[in-house]
Amino acid sequence: MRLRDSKPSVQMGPVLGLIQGSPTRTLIKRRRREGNGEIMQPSGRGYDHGITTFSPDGRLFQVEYARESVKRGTTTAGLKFKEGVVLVCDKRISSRLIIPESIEKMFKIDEHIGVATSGLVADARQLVARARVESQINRITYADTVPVDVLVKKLCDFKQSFTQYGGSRPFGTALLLGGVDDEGIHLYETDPSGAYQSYHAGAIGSNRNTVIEYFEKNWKAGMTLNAAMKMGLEALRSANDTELNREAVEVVVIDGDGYRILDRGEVTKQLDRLKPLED
Amino acid sequence: MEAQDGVLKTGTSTVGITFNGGVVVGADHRATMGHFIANKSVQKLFKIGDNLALTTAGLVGHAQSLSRTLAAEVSLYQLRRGQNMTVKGAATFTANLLSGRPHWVQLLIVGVDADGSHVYSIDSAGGSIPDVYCATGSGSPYMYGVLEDGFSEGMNRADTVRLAARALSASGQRDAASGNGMDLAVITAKDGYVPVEQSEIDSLLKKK
Repeated sequence: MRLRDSKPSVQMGPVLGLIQGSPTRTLIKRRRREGNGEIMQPSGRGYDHGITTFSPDGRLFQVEYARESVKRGTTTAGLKFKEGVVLVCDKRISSRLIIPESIEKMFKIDEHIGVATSGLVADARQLVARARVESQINRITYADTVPVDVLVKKLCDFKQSFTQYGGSRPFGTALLLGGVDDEGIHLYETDPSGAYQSYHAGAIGSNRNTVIEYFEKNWKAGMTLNAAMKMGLEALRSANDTELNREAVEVVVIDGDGYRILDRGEVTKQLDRLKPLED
Repeated sequence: MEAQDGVLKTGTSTVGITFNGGVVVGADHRATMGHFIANKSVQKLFKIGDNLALTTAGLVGHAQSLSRTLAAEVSLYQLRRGQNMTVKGAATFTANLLSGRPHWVQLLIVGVDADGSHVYSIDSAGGSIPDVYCATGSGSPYMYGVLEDGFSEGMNRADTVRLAARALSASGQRDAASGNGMDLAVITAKDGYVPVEQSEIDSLLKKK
């Protein structure tokens, strides 16, 4: 009844399209075209059908469901060290037939910023595409790299608009965004509602709490890169209770030299430094 | 390219000079229509932020419209990001405005930021060039004579203010489209944008 056209209502346009056509405007237009959504909806079907409808106790169920999809996502962690940020994730390869390199969870946004994702990968790629464009817009507009907090706010404003305007759904994705700028070293977590927080060490995805607990016990300021990589991988393993799949672990470092992803050999070397799990 | 005589334009002399710890910026007060002096107290020096100033030469309408847009963008940037726009950032932003829709102006964007003090000259099509000092407008050849002679790296505030006043005074004497007094301001990291008192300008010019 409502979903006559199957075209996604929000698309990544060319750069100029991004600046001009806000998602909200597109959504409002579409809603008008389809008539009044509230009247056409069957009554008494609960409060979790429209993302824009509050439940009587003030909750937005669709946003909470989106958070659930993050909770089911792959475990992803990030932590600050003396000169930058380390991001680690376990890509959870389910079959030996899958080529590990084809699964992407870590993305370079600009020379000084990277993100690790958890939740719906396809949703994450849309946000990554947007973050990359926003970073370049800042370079064109002000001849300067985008400050990390500015990019985080822009991304979260975008995510928030999908919790307030009908005809679409929130992003089922959380991002761990690490970066280095003039203000210092940053690690942010963003969730599907558009909320964000800054951490010394953080995690998203399944078993997030185990990883956070590990960091709460062990993280300290001023670590070396090697110590941080080791701690990140140990934290990731603590969420698993088994040894990590060597082919499935990805490690990214963002520091004064920029963004770099460790190659397989380097990751193996780091994993070899971990003390083997008992029994 | 020449604007028509019936259009209000600032024949103009404006100048920006970096010194040790800041930048001095100034402009004359005259607006002309052909050989007619249309106004004797035009503002061509604009504060566009705590750390930034703009001087304008060219069509008055274009210059004023740009100064309004720029001041608004600079304060929005500050509010959204909690930090001042860099001088290079402001120059690039302005250059982008001009390359999309050329204005008949020649601008200086001057200021201080974490990297030091800067003067950017910006042309009507969006060309943006940094320098240690720069003069714009019909009076600029006369000012450059004074500047080439008087400028040196690492000057202090007082000497730089005097040099700017002398340059504007020279073009006010010899360029028919410049004169009727001047505005001067000093921007430093510590105090931000501070206008130079008219009495100080008068006494500087007398001493010479």
